[in-house]
Amino acid sequence: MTVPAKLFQQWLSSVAGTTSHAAVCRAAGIKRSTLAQQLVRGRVSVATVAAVSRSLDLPVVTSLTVFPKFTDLAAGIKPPSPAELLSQISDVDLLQEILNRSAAADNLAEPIRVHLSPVPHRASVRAWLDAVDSADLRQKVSRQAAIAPQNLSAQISANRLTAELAVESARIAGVGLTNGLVSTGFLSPAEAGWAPGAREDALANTANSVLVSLAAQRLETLGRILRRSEDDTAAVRSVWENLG
Amino acid sequence: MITDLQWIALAACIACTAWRFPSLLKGRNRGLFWAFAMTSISVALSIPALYLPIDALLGGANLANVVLRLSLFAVFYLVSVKVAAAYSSPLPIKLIRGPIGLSVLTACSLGILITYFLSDVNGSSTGLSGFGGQASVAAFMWFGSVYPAYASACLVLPTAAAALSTRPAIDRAAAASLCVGFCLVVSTVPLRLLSAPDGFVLKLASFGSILFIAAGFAIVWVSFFRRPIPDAIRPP
Repeated sequence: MTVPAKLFQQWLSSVAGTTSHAAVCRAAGIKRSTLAQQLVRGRVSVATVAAVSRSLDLPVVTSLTVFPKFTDLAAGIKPPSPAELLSQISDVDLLQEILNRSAAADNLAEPIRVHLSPVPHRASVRAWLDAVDSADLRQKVSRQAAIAPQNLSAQISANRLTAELAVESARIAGVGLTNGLVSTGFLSPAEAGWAPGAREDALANTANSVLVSLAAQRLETLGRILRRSEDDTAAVRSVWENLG
Repeated sequence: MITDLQWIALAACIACTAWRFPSLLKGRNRGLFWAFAMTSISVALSIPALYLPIDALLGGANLANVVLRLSLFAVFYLVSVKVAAAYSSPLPIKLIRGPIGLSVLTACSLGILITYFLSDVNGSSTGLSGFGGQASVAAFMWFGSVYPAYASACLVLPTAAAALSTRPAIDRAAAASLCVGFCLVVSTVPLRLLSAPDGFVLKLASFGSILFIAAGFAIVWVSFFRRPIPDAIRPP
């Protein structure tokens, strides 16, 4: 996912003034050669924009609104729904919450609050898409963004989604435009406008029944993914066994 | 150019044989060592500079060519059984080790011996190119390419499926290289019918296939060396 180099140069001179590219790169932790190459090719990655913004203490979302496809990003910030918040909690944390609640019920005590692992978790993109999906969201996204459905699902399987697709998915699903960028790890929850502790609160307010069904769903998906990867491993081992 | 390709293929086969030597001592897939050793002999016997002196030792009646053909059959039997098992494909295993495969192998071996004794091939000639006019020599060459093509044809689909699967990239690359090699071996049968017996394209396909198959094995070995949990592969 990239922005035009010309617009990037204009934005950079407006925010960094006359600071040299070398100094900008050093502050942002990007290789000088990487930026030079992106500028020569005429396309600068959004990750570069985010890194430069962070190094200048500028909100990443505001910086991105300068570029086409992201102009309504700041205006499109909406608080995440409880389902979206729960989607950004890892499988293990959900299970830990179930264990804590059950232990608390046995001891007639208040459940201990789970210390949630940071976003994104290992299947955060798929979980977020499932949380905001009404019907055929994936088909609509691939049609709208003109990307082949199998390429989209390959990205989701690898727990990746380009910034453009994440924003497009949020737009089609009618949720906050920055929320998908949290699931890909491109933005931190705070940068996306999520209230601090929002995930913890959403988890605490989830009914036992909902929590258990969600965990069951997650485990089923995990089981499917594990089975596929075990089949692949077994196939590769058979090759090693016979030809290695 | 073909001579260069032949020397490169010979070097690749000798390198693979040497690579398999430690495994031979350890007793790991010993068949592969012998397969590459025999492939090296076969390739060496396709090069005039090596064929002529060796055939002279065997009596100068082109017996070396019979050795070449039969050792290629053995190579293809060994390799195709291993590859079919590696890509867990029950039908190809049956087609190669079962009655059909063994009958094709026996028929081709007998065909080679019978056509050799029917031909008048006195005087060393690499690839029997000096006797192209005889029908029995044409049949000899044809028998020589049928069994390798049959065994390879059984393996095209399993290797193609593995190349298109969701395995790690290195394992798909190995399967793809093997698949291309086997396709080239299969193509030698129609090429032999279409082109002159000493055709350029035919030799390109034959020695190219050896390079692709050797490269496929080499990639498998690299993947094997990089395997994540060495002890979990095979219990001690």
